[in-house]
Amino acid sequence: MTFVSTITLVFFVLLAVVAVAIGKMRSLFAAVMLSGIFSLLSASLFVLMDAVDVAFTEAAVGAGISTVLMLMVLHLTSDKETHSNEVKVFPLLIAVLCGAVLLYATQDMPHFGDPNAYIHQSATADHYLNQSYDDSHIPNIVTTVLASYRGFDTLGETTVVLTAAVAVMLLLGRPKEEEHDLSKSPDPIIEVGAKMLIPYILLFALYVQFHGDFGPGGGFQAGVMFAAAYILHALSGTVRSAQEAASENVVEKLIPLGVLLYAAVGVWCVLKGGNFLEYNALDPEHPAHGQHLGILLVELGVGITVFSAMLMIFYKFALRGREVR
Amino acid sequence: MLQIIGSVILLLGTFICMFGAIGLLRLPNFFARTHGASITDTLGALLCIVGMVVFTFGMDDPMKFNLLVVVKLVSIGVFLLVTSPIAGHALTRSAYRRGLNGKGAPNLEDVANLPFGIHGAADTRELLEGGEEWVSREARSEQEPNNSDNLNSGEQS
Repeated sequence: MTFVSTITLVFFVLLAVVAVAIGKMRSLFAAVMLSGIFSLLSASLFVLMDAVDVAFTEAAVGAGISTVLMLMVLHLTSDKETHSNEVKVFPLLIAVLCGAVLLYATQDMPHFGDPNAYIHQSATADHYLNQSYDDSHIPNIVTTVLASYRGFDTLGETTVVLTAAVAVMLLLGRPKEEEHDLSKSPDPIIEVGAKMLIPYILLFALYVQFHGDFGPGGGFQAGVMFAAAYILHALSGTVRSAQEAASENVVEKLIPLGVLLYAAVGVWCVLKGGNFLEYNALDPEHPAHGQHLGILLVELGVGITVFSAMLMIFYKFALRGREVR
Repeated sequence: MLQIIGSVILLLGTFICMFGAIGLLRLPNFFARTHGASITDTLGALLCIVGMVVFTFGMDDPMKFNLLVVVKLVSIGVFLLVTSPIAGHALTRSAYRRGLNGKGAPNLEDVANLPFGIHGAADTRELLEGGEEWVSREARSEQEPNNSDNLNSGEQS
């Protein structure tokens, strides 16, 4: 067993331990914290597996934003699990059945790093690996697959993010004015510390956004990091002060704007005489330049939508609460 | 030679992390335990990073990639230096503000009134209390009758 696979195994064991601990935990507050730890462990696992871009997202969303959202939900409800001694047979049966089916299904999964796995043998994977640089002159194959070869998929994913944000906005609605009772005196130490960090987080998010062609990153990761910076600002100070930096009205309009930008690039390709999202048509003399331009704009659209959707969901939860620190 | 020095510093860092972990498990109350956690975060992690920097300088380096590694390590160190103490502060502050008393919890009102004094104790009290009207520990424990040493049982503010 190699060194890396030993570490991987240790991480998987820790993941299982944390998962069991979450299940046994009565205090929901501690369970939320443990789920944050679970996400950080999975992020470390993704780094070990050389999927740094996924690790970014997992660390920012799983450990950061979703933990904050869960804490806010606990603030609105109660942080104790209601206890009952009665054993519910039907839900137990369903859980056991689902677990058994999943365990049975894992038998068909290829081993970790198996060269004979289907994904390594399919013709599309070969095509992507061999052709992507010639097609678009972009060294990061993940970006070309995400934004160009599978541009339709990504458009769908961005629309899913939009739908989620719209659903949260519909469910939580506009808060009443008197509910804006936010923390009067935020802690200066935390506030100053956050102010020192926020510029670097924003800068790194921009780097991840626009360097996605060459290194790990792209719109999803950058959008999440941008939102995390604003949420840090809101948590260290007040939600009001974050809203002065990015007002709810503007954020609200940015959510569909990103999807619109994505779709507009597709329509632009059609107008230039190509197919929908066929970036080669953007610059007929240099198809690779067209690919570059199209991927850049599309990733920007994804980034805008993800950023504003995350921030909007945070605002909606934050302004429901009586007091947010 | 540099590699040996680096390894020794790295080993020292891991020992400090281990002491922090032991402290986290063995110290008597929440506020003392945060001390163990902060040691792991600050001194332990920073010593590890310094050790890695010294180790990297000792490596053969025909391509001059080492400088990049060192810059990355130093920036990680700077971020840790900023975030870890603040995280420890936030943890202690929120526990104190939620009324976590228990055995051995600091009574900052007493600290401020001590004859020999601790410099800045009054300011510390103001920071912890967030500038709100000061309520003594006894008065607070009357309002919120849960004085358990367990964070989970702290009442929501």
